[in-house]
Amino acid sequence: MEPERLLRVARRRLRVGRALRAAQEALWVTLAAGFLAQLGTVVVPYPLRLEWVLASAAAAAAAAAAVAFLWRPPTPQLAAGHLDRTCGLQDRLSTWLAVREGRLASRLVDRFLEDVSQAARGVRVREAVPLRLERWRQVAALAACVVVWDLWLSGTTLPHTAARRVAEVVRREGQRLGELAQAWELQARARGFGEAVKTAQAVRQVARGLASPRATGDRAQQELGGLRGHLRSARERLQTKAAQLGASLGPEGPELEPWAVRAVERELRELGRALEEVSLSPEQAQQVRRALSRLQATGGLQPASPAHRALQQAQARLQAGDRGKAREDVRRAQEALRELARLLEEEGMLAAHQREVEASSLSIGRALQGAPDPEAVQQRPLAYPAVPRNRPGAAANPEDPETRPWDGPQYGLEPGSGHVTDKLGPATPRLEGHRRPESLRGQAGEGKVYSARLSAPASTGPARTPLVRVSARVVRQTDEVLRAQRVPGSYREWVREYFAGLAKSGP
Amino acid sequence: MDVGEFHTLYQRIRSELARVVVGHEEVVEGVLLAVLSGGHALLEGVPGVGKTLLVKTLARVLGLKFSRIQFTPDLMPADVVGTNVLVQDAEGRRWLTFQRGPIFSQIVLADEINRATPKTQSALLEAMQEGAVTVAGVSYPLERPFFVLATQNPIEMEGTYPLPEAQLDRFLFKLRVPFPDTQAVVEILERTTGAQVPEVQPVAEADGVLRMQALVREVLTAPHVQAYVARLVEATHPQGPRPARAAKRWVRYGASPRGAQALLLAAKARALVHGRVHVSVEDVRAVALPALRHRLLLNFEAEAEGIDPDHVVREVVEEVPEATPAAGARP
Repeated sequence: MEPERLLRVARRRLRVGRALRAAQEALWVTLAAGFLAQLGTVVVPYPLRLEWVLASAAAAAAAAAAVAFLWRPPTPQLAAGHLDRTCGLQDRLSTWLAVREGRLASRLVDRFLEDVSQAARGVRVREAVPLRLERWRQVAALAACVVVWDLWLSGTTLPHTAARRVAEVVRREGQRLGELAQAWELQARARGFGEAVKTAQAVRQVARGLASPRATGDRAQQELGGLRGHLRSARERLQTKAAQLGASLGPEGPELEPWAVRAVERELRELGRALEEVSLSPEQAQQVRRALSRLQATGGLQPASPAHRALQQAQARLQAGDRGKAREDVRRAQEALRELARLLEEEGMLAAHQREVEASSLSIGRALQGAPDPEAVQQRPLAYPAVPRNRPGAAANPEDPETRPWDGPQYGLEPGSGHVTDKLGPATPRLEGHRRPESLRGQAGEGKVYSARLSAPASTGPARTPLVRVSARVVRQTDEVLRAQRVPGSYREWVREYFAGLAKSGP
Repeated sequence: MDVGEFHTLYQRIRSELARVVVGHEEVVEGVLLAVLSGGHALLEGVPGVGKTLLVKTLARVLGLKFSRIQFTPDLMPADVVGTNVLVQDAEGRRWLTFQRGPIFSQIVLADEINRATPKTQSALLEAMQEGAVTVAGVSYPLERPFFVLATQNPIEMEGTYPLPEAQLDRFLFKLRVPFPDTQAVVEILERTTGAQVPEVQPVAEADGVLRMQALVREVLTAPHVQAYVARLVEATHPQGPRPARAAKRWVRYGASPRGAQALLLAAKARALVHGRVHVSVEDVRAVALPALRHRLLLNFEAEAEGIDPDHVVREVVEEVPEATPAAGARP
């Protein structure tokens, strides 16, 4: 290879090699910083994700390579000096450059040029200017450390550190969500709520991740964020369906409560039974028409809803004296309302899921910000649908069938009714008895809360809360609602009787 | 003379010298480099290691006029350069005529030069630098080529006069002649104690040596090599802009620009001797020790710590980076 071409190739390879080395150094520095940051999470619970570390390392490498490639390209003199040193050319190429530039004059120039050409022919540029990266093994090892840490060692914390406190909160929230999700799934399956089953499964999956020893606060927030999005979209689907059935949608969701729809649907059921009677007295007919009018005025139902239309047709047929067709219309309205109530209940269930998930996210967020007392999470009251303040007919006589109050807020319609799977409670939390004694807190009967300190591994069989425990939980919820809300005394009595009957029907 | 002839002649000179001088490859090469560079050399070594023999043999091999001056404390400058003497002919007429001293030769062996007084030592200054001698206002040019090859004994301090710095600076090289190893001593015994003493034949003549010197000056030197030489010399100055650490610590005064000239000339000669027509940084490094060791004036600290100038030169060479051919990014 002629000296001219030799230098050209060497300059190009020097440039590329410099860019590669710069990229390698940038990778090394960034990965080392990332790894140190990962180690720092053992003490301080700051957010750090593997993709951030890898992306910043790649960006730094690319930027360093670009700068090194573009900034001050190697001069021919530099390339000549490099080749002289690495190939043992004893400054032949450097001197050749000076000769070519006319800076040296001697009668030995011709001999020198001949000498340089001969020496240049023996130069292997690839060997003289290699493009291999000398520290790639170290860089690869460091990258492996970063990945291994993220996959298997993330979540490791030192005792008595902020990171450990956050990890404990995350695991506790994971266990809590897991228990709730198990109960939700059972309830959703029992009621045939497809969306609710899916979301409960999703919550369980996320909860498993949160309860694992590798969970971190940042990752938990990420997972819970995704879960919130999943719940939001599921709720939107249900709300769309409910809106198609006539439910008005407000900023917080449907303005219609499922128990209100159930109450209307029950009145329609009684109305349908009344229409089945052979003879209908004028007073009864007038009463039926009044009931129809009142039902049409039920708040939260849009006038163009299928139930409304069916009821209007029923009223028209009743005025025309066609009781059979009117009964058929009432039945259609009843079915539409039943479907609407089912959708609203499922949506309400998802709303409860979402509130629990948001509560967990809030707890973890507080822990990440260094807020004290993570145990307060356990003391948070259980979520349940809020009792509306503007219930229709709240002041009416409970003996009057027209103003009879609605069913219970969420679980079961009547004492003793419903399926046994409705009454299954959350699973007993798994105890890590092999590590250290742990406290188990729970209810073992009506209204009583027990705490036990266990030193042995817990049983790993399927755990189910007995029916009495569910009723106790509902009683407790009801007590809290009745205490917190302004509820007339007559309704308080009704609720007390309802749950008393429910407790009697238990095992 | 072309490079091929140069090499042939050089090899013949080496071969002839090797017939008499046993071992001392580096010293022989150093002396020859000094000769080819047109410089003078100071040989330092204990008595009996072959310094005088080397010089005498070299003079014979090169076919040059040789004279030997045994320096003693009572040696006067006129004994070296010559003097005007009053001459009277048969008719009684008198006149002054210049009686040439032993300096009027081509290879002058100044044996044990440090035994003479500084005044006598200084008599060599003009001859070494200018190639001429001035007596009573009359300048007498010396026949070219002209070399002073001086010897001195490093262990005898009694009755010696260390060479003044100006005198030392005139020497291109200061070569240390080590004690030969066992094998070399055996070889010396074999050659010198038998019935047949090896003889050498002249293989060159004055003109040939001059042409070799001229060719040495034709050797190409890249700018970055010159910059390296300058940087090396500059680094020996503790008060300079970029002194080496060793120089800052142990040197009182560094090498002169004459030292830089000597360094480059010797490097050129070495390059040619090694078959190249251009100087490399490696050549400069190779001759840095003999070319600079006698030009450094060490300070009291160095003397107190027993630091040798060779040590300082080695550290300076090690510290000064090889000059980048031109400004540009490092690879």
